[in-house]
Amino acid sequence: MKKIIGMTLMLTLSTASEARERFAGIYLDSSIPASQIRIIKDDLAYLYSNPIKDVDSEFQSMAELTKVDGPHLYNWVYNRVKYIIGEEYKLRGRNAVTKKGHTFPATPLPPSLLKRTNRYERISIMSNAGAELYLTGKLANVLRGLKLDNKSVFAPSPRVGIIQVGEGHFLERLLINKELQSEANKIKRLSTIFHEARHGDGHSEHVGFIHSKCPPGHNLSGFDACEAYSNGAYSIDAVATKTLLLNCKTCSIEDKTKLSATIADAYSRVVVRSHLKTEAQLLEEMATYQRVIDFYIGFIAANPKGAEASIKELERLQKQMKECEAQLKELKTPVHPKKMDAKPEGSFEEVSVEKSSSLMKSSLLRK
Amino acid sequence: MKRITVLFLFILGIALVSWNFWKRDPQNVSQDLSQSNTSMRPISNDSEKVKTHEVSIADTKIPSSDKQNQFNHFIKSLPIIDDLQNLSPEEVHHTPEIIKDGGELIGRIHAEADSDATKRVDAMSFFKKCAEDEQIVTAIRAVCLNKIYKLVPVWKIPTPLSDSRISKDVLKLSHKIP
Repeated sequence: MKKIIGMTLMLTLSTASEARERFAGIYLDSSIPASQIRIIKDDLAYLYSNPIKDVDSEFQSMAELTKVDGPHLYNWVYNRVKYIIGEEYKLRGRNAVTKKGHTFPATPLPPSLLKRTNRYERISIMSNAGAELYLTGKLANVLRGLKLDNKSVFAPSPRVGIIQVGEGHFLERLLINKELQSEANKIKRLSTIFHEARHGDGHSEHVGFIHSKCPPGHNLSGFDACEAYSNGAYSIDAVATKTLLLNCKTCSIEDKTKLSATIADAYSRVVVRSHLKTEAQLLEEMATYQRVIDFYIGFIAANPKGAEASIKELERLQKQMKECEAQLKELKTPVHPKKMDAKPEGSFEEVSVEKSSSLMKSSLLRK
Repeated sequence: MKRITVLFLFILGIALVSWNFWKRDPQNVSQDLSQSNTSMRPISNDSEKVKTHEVSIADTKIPSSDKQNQFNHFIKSLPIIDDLQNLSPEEVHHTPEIIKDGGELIGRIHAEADSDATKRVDAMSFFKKCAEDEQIVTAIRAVCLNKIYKLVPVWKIPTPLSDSRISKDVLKLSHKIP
């Protein structure tokens, strides 16, 4: 009888511990539904096992890879994704932990972080919660973290590697085709992982490679959905998708075209100019302003008394004119997106390709 | 008595094991079936998504083949820049659904014309209209332009483009697509 009780208890405990699990070294929290966990595991296994033959020419240098193959790609992801939590996991309240007295690197924060207005309250697809914890912690000078894997996981670097995944990551209407486990959908989901993982990199003013406001004239003007770097999250997203697409064996013409649209969209977010007006548009604007300026100059000269309002308007128009001149000068100066040093600030651990491959192989054997 | 205790504990154990196993199973991954279709028609039947903007190519004399082009009416289903401005910050953080839908529509036209050579002229005409339409989202125009560059030598259908209608951004993007 004692044996039966003991066995029952052990069985219960072992099943409870499997609610949280590790796959290829990555902790998968119990807040992730079982069906989503299966998909995540399959996606990562696909990435690792992919016999990459065709590679996008920019990928290797952009991701600082010594080689572009499945194990190296998985290693890149693993060094940036250590914990995956579900949409229902609350980042505040009982799950949040803080520690005072931590010394953050004495580097400036990105200006756009300080001006940020659109903080997402709800996760729909995926976000890098670890980078967010690091950035908000540094801003408040408090080390932030979460209770995960039966311990407090603090974010002393944006590379802490906590990714939150939402239902949108698995929704058919947001994917490429109706087959959840198709190669095209794996590619789409993996590109999102690459994108979010990149937010764990960078230091100083480009820490987290956070997005900047899209300039006037851009399709997404006004949104924090652009970047000025040649190796930021959108760029990595684009080249990762390209490389995986080039090696896709089962992608149909529709799949390829849809993925191409996502690649084009990602690349379109890489913008270095403060505006996207054409020379013709600027010259037209300047001509319009000049005509009105000329009128006000004449009017003020002819009516000097009580011309305060007109003088003010003239000053405003002259300021607009100067702005157009600066934009025209910028247009005539060739600029290219800069490649930033992706090394993250703060303390973090990196593992070798051998180590991450060994973790993956053990998990694949157990699967 | 002992037997009842053992049986009770056994049932309790099974119940706990089952509860742990099933509690994490999701209800379902919600499936929006509004787009499930295999026939050639606009991606969404939702009238809100049917565009009423005028195509920027203003032809005073429309060739009869243009009127009969079986794909041209799908131009209205492609996303325009105003559509993006109406989205939320969450929706634009990753590629918006409307851009993916646009890609899917272009892909379907390509696939249909690929399997039926009689549709290729109309398909190329569609891609041209798409690439030259300044109201359409830049990424989608780039995909259309990319299709033209890829398919002209394969389908052998000359498709002259209007330089003035294709910006450097669209041109540059089209070359980045595989």
